[in-house]
Amino acid sequence: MDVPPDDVVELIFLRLDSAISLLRAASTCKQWHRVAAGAGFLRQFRSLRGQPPVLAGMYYDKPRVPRRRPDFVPSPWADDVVVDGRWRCFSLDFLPESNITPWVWRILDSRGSLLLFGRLRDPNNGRCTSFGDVVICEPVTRRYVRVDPRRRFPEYNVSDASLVDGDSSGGGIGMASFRVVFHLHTRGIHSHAGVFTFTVVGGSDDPQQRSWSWRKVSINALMVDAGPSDDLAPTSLYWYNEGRRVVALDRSTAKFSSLLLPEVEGWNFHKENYDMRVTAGHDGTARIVILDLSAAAGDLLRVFARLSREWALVRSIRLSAVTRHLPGYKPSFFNDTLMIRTDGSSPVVLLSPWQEDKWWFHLDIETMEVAPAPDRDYAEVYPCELPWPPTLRAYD
Amino acid sequence: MASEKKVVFLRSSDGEAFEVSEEVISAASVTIKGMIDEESPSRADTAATTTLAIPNVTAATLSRVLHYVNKHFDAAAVVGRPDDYIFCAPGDEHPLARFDDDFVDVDNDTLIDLVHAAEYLHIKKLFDLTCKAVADKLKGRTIDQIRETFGIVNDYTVEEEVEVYRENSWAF
Repeated sequence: MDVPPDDVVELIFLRLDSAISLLRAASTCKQWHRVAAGAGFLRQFRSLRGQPPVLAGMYYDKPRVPRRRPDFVPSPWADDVVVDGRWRCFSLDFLPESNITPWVWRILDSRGSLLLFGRLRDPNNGRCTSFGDVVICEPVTRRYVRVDPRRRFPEYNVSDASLVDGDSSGGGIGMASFRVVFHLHTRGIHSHAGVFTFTVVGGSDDPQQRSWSWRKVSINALMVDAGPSDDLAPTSLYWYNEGRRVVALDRSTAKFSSLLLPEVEGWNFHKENYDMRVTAGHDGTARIVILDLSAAAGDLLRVFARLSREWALVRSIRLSAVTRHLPGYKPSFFNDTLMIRTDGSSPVVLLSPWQEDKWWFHLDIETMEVAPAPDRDYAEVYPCELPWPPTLRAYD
Repeated sequence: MASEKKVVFLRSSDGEAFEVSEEVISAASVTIKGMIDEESPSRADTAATTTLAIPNVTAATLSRVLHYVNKHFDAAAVVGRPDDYIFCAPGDEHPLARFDDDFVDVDNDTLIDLVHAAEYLHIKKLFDLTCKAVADKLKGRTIDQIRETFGIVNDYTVEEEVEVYRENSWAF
């Protein structure tokens, strides 16, 4: 058979159905490998294919069932990886101390093909971790990096850790390029963010090629001088202390920006008084959802959207009123504050009282539809994708 | 005289000549249209038909290409002769979808030859169709199956192969 020239191979590769097919085809010989490793090819493949990062599946972590490994449920779209029933690549037995019984790690976040684990402390305490060291891992390639924020920032408490895309030129996130952002605080004031940036030069596995850096960012300074948030991504991380100013960090670009919430009559914007989430409306743009925790407002959920250039209050939802017809409703559920969960991608938020009893319900913040939700204590869900971009290099 | 269709002959690399409507092949192939345009001053007043050499394409492949071209680019044929209906089932998004499926349902060497011919003759629709067909044959196969199917020689050194396998082994 005549071997097609590189440009024809490239055009054939661009018509492949998945990243897995591409990797297999590219690994057959040097010529085909060279085509896939060519400048700009992977980016073009991605833009043509829409979303080549394929959802590998979901990890279900059960914070209230301590000392038990997360379960992995493969997605039907990742069938190609299940050759000969091989799902073993998603097991977490490669993690440090994974042989310790009971299991000591809990998932804090996932992004792309990476999972972020924190150390288990008290299963009944919020996010369940002590914020000692965290582990960033890629289950598919069974690699991990261990990071200890306390050693770098001994003067702070660490209350949260999130994955942010790395600073490699291709963008995206993977074991060769990622960031972890820690919320640092003293006496409850979240004054700083600790940013850990990790890069492997050339994207290879070689430990010699690893480089990393730490950066401390003053949130208070950003409150004053961060550029305006023209396009707040619904999956952003965010900080607020008091006043109407919110600082956001875009998880794709790692750029900070700030926005100003509108004045709301009779409401004090102090962080003790609200719980804030950013999520997406039905149109995909950001909504800021604020659960009022002040006694006077009780069970009020406020929804802010960006209209023309300014953020505006678009809805005030009285939770005790909209849920009245749901089975199991008790007025006393709303005597105390509620818990809120969002996924950053849909206008459906999850809410539950927590003092008297758990009673989770879904609320669509735009249509105001409500529905009972399954018990959220059962499991937290963390999506995990197949790695992208793959590691390819040109041979000869 | 004006109603008479002009034809050209295409001579394959192995010397066989094929007759095709000039209008149809010009609509299909950028390469042949260019050749005809180049020839036209010298043949304007002669009744002689032109024969164009297609040195990169064999008779077997060229006859397949012309079969495709006549189906896709001949306006009269696209409207439909009775025998076209066997290719056309209710629900087909395009009347020629079934024809295209059958057209690329050939062995790998024939398919790759068609890719080359479509590229050389610059027939975009045929090139897209055949590239997609090759891509479809690659999917869902292991590396060894792909090598076997397409007769690809593994030319990595042992060290390179270890590296290639290690870095993306999850996908294999």
